[in-house]
Amino acid sequence: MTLPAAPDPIGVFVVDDHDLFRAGVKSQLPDDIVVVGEASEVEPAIEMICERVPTIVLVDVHMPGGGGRLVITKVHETAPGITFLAISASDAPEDVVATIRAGARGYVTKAISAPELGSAIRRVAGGDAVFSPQLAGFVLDAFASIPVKDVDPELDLLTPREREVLQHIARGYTYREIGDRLFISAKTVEHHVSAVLRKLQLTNRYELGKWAYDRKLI
Amino acid sequence: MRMTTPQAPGTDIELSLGRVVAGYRAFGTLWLAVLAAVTLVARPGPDRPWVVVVMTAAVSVWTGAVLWMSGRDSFVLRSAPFLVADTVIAVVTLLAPNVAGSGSFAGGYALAAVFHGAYAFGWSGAVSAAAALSATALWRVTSDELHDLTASSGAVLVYGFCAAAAAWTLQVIRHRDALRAGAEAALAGARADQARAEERAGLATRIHDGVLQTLALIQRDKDDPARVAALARRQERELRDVLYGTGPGAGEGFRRSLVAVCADVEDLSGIRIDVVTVGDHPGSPQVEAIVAATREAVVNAAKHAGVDVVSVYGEADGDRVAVFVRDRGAGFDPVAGVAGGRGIAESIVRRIESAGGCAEIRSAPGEGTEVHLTVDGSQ
Repeated sequence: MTLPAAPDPIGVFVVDDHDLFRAGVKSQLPDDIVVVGEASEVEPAIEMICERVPTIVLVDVHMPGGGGRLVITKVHETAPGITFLAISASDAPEDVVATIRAGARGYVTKAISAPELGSAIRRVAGGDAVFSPQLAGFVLDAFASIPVKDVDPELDLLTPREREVLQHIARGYTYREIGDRLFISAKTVEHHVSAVLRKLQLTNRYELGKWAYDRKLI
Repeated sequence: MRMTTPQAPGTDIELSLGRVVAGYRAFGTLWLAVLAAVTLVARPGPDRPWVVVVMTAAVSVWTGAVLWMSGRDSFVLRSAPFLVADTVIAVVTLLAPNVAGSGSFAGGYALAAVFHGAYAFGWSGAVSAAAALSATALWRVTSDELHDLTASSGAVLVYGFCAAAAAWTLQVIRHRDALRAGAEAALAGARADQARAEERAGLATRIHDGVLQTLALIQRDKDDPARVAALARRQERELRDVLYGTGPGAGEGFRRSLVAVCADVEDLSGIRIDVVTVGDHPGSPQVEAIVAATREAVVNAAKHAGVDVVSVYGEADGDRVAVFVRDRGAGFDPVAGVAGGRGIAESIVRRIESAGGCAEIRSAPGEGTEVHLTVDGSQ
C-alpha cells in the first residue's frame, strides 16, 4: 500500500495496563506516529484523553475496572470525534465484539508486528476500519448466529459481497489483494468493511452478545 | 425476652406452621358446627334459629377461604387487617348465642384467632386476639344473665394460656429453625469457598507449570530466536486454551480438530500458523478427511513456501465444510508442479476427492499458494 508522505505525525494515546507493552509500542512505532500520552487505568485514561484530544487511541480490550469498552463509551460521551483502535493479547470473542460495538474502529492482536501496527493506525486515522483475520472470523460467526426468522435485513444481515470480503480477510488477504481477487478497488473493499462495522455497531440484537457465550458450548 | 419475629413467607417452616394453624381452625369450625347442630335440635330450641345457621355458614366459608389462602402461603394471612377481621369474626361467634337466644355454640373456634395471631405476629398478635376475646367474655357477664362469672373467668384463662403457649412454642420452633438454616448456609458457603479455592489452585498449577517450563526453556535456548518464538507461540496457545478453550472432553468437532492439527504443525515446523474458524461441525469421516488434508497442506506450506506465517481459515456452514490454507511464499506452477513430482499436492487432492469433496490449488511462482478444500460433512 502506497502512502502519501504524511507531513503531520499522527498523535496516538496508548491505554494499556501492561507497562512493557506501552514501552514497546512507544519505542517501535514508525516516525510518522507519535505517542502523545499513555495511561494504565481506565479513569485517568478517560480524563487524559478528553484533555489531550489525540487523533487515535490505542486501547487494550482487557483492563481492570471496565476495560477498553468503558474508556470508549465514556470518551465518546464528551469527545465523539476521537478514534479508537482496540488491541489485545487474548481474543475472547465476546470481549472483542463488545469493544467494537462500543465504538472501536478496528481490532488487532498484540502479536501484530510494529510496521503492521503502524499501517493499522494510519488506516483508522484515515477513517477506515481495520479488521484483523481474527475479528473477521468473529464477526462472520456473530452474524451467522442471528436467527433467520425476523431479521432486519438492513442491519442483521451481511450482503453476499460483505461476507465475501470478510471471508477473504479471515483467509489472510490484504485489502489490496481482496480488491484484485474480486475485481474491485481497495477503496471499495474499505467501503464494505466500514459498512460491516456500522452494522455491527447499530444492530441491537442481543444475539450478538449471546452468541459468544453459546459458541463456547459447541 | 427476645422476640422472634415471623420469618419470610415461603420458607418450609412457615408453610408447615401455617398448615398447623389452619388445621386447628378447621377443627374449631367442625366443633362449632357440631354444637350448632345440637343447639338447633335441642328443646327448647333457639329463639332465632336462622342466626345459628347463618353464623355456622359464615364461619365455614371464612375457614374455607383461609385454608385456600394458606395452601398458597398468601401474604394476606400475615396482614394486620386480616387478623382484625379474624378476631372480629371470633368475637361474633361468642356473641351470636345472645342474638339467637340460645346457649353458647362457639366451642373452641375462637381460639383459631389466637393461634393465627401468634402465627402471623408472634406475641403481640396472640395477646391482642386473646385480649379481645377475653373482653368479650367478661362483657357478656355484665350484659347477659345466661353467663356466669365462673364460666367466663375460665374462658379468659384459657385464652390467655393458649396465647402464651402458642406464641412461645412458635417462637422456639422459629428460633431453632433459624439456627439450623444459618448453620446450613454457613456450611454450604464453606463448601463453595473450598471448591472455588481448589479450582483456582488447580488452574494456577496448570498455568504456572507450563509457563515456568517454557520460561526455563526460553532461557536455555536464548540464542535460537526461532526456537524461542516457537516456545512462546506454544505457550500462548496453551494459555489461550486454558482461558477460552472448550477444555478437554469437549468433543472432537471440526473447529477443535482443525486448531489441534495446526498447533501440531506449528510445533513441528516452528512456523506461525494463524487459524480463524467460523461455525462448527460435530464431526464425520468427511470432516476427518478435510482436517487430515489440511494438515498436509499446512505442512507443505511450512516446508516449501519459505514464509514465517501460514493462514488457515475453516468454515462450517451446516454440513458444508471448507478450509483455506494460504501462504505468501514461493508458490509453484500447479501443472508443472504436479508433473514434477509434487506428490503432496496430488495426495491432498486424492484424499479430498475420495471423501466426495473437492480441492482446488491456486498458485503461481512468486505469488504464494492457496489450497481450498470443501467437503459435504453429512454422514
